[in-house]
Amino acid sequence: MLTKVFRFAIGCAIGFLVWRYGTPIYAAAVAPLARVFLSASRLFAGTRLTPAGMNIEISGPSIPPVRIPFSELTYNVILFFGLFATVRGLFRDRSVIRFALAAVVLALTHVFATVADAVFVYATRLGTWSNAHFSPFEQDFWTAADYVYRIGGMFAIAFACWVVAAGPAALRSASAGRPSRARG
Amino acid sequence: MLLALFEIPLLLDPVDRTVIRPFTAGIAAVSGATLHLFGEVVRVEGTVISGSCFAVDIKNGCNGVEATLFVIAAVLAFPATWRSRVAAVVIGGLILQIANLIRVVTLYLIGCHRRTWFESFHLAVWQSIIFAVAIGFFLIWSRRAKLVHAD
Repeated sequence: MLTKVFRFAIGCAIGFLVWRYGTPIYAAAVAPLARVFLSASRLFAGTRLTPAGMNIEISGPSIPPVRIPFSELTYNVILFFGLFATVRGLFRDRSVIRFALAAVVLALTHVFATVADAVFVYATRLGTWSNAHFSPFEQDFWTAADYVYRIGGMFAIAFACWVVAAGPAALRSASAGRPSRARG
Repeated sequence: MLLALFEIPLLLDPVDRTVIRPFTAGIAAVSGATLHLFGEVVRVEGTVISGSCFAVDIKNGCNGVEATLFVIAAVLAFPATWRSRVAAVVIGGLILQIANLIRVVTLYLIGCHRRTWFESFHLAVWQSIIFAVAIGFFLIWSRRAKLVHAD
């Protein structure tokens, strides 16, 4: 059990470093993908997403410029790395592939989170401009989406990626410690 | 999906006014009392803990409720007896509130003594730790709950 906790802590430390120092590079990779989805809406046609350190700046012909805190949408990588660090034989072929697939799924959720956060900012934070372009229902919807993702959803996603990728065996082994009384 | 279903009511003003804010004010009061034990002179007003060097306002996302909801959703989705589930929610909630108390106290102290560290600890470190505690608790409980269920 202590070994698992230790491995988890090391994984979290690596995840923290990846998040802290890798976010500017990661933002440059996520921004073009998020732009594709954002531009699908007529309101956001021709939108530009420019990485700016830990943030992404958004501007376009028909929208005012805003800045979204990209690093606040991606710090579930810390938990993601921590959980995968508990998997034995992570660097074996099949495990590495599963880890890579889980990382791709996590990255896709970051793309959608970036889109959702951008729309949330435009829908709710720009006063009369927001009210002119978004209905009250749309404003409530994007507020709820952003809230659910930030307050717990992002961690649930990291957890789900790990459970699905690592499989039930890893789940059992992660919680394995002394045999419980119920079994004895 | 369950987690989203549980979290959305927190956005409703009546829920926030009558449940979340009083609960968070309670956390602030306990955190303030704990800081007093460490010799810190702080004043608690509602959800705000303020001292001569720093002030923190405990908001949704920093009161442990979100992690407790995660445990409730996970426990409900797991095939266990209701007795076992209720015990998990009560014990898990208590453990998370203790962890959250440590979070609030340490964040205040970090804000006082290492201001540049505050944002990283507030956002990334402590939020990850709180959910790690929630996940760890669920994993340990689910192993035992399975055995109870099999019996």
